[in-house]
Amino acid sequence: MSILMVTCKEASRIGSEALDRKLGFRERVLLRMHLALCEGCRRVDAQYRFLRRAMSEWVESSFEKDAADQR
Amino acid sequence: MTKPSESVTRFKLEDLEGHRRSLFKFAMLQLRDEAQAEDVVQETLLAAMQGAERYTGQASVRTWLTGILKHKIIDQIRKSVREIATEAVHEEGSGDDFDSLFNERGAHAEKPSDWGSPETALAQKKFFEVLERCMDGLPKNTARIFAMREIMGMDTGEICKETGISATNCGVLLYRARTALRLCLNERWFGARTRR
Ligand SMILES: [Zn+2]
Repeated sequence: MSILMVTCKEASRIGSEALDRKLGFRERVLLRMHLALCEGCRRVDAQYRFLRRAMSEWVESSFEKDAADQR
Repeated sequence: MTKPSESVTRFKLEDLEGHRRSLFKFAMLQLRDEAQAEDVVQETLLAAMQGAERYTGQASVRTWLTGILKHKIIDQIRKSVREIATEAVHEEGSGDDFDSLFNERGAHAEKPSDWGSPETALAQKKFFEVLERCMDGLPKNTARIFAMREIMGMDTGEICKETGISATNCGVLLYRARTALRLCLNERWFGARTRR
């Protein structure tokens, strides 16, 4: 493993952190490099992003459901 | 009493009652305790009624109510801060940080699957039921932190402050929650669909 590269395990962790804080320059570059080369991690990344979207839609939809039930 | 404004007349008890179930669901996710969840929801609806004149109409009623709920939940969580901080990191089934997903060189042991265009799931009621079941499956404190982040939209700094968890541990817990949910959805929704 080169010091320039992160493993899939590390990339999965950093990818999650990217949703919570601004990554440092080094982390950002390492993650971007890894994603460019690794399809598996691109899928994990897409799944993280989808999960966030699904959570916010879930909040929306449960309130809409409540409102609809009332009518 | 202040003189009735438009916003006061806008809120009748029934209007707010309609949100009770959603508020309860959110509170449950974070508190994992029915009695406590009922309490905070009750307090939220009461506070909303009493403070109706402070509702400016700029945000939706939902945003306004969840804003109040958030504070009630944080108050509740503050009471159990020590419990969360010590338990969370050692929570069941979390010791290995999903090590088995990776081989000894840290690469994916099995290539994660392609969910294609997952957005189409968002149009299906069934999908959200699966998502809820997956959230129910998270360990208690992991679920609490995840809900604070993704449902209440708190930033990690706020979460650390309110729960006494370090920023590092907070990141670990969010990673665990996301990974567990990813695997759960993969198995119960996306996997089932690709296998067909
Ligand atoms: Zn990778």
